[in-house]
Amino acid sequence: METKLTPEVKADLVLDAFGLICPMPIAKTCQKIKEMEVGQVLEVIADDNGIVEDMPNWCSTTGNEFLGIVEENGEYHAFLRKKVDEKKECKRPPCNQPDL
Amino acid sequence: MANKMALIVFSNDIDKLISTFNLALGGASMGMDVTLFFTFWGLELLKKDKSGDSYQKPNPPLEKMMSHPKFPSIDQMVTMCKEMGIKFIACTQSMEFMELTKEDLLPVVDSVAGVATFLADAEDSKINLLI
Repeated sequence: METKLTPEVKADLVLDAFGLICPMPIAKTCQKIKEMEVGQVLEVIADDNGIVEDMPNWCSTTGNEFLGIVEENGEYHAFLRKKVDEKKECKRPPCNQPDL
Repeated sequence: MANKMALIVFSNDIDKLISTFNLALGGASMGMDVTLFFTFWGLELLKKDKSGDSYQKPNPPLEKMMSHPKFPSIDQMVTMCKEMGIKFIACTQSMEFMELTKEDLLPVVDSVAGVATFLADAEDSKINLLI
């Protein structure tokens, strides 16, 4: 499968969603990306394998760029790049909630 | 048609409430405007005074999953909904037969209204469900 996940891709920010159940990894991604600059890369770590399909779908719906996902011993690392599309972004304000 | 989701929260069954919040939070994360219309037993969730039988208990597999420390509680999901701008409407007709006033409900309620208000929202929503 073609991937945009080249060795040059480095995460600017990491979101630890390990142990969180659907839809929390996506909801937290939506929250985290609000804090980022356009062009920056977010790495999301999760163990819910729903992320394999959910992250590319979330990216295409919200207008962000899905770069790829790697799996190691049941731990997923998804990479995405923030894009410009402000009007499609989630309305959640930046992090102000303790981790659930 | 607007990028909106309108859900009718009819039940106080934990299984169904979890499913409702899952969809609502997922929808808001995808950039949708989400409205929850609480009617009949769904109103139990919005009451300030809750008792042991306010909710119907989850089925065992869900109960087990909910005991996991990282599984958000119903209250945490409600908080998250409000943070994400999800609108809560309480049904006036149901409030009447359950003998509830606005003062009996939690401040998470955005408005109390009848079916016309919900339908105005539902009419141009892409997704409409009764749960």
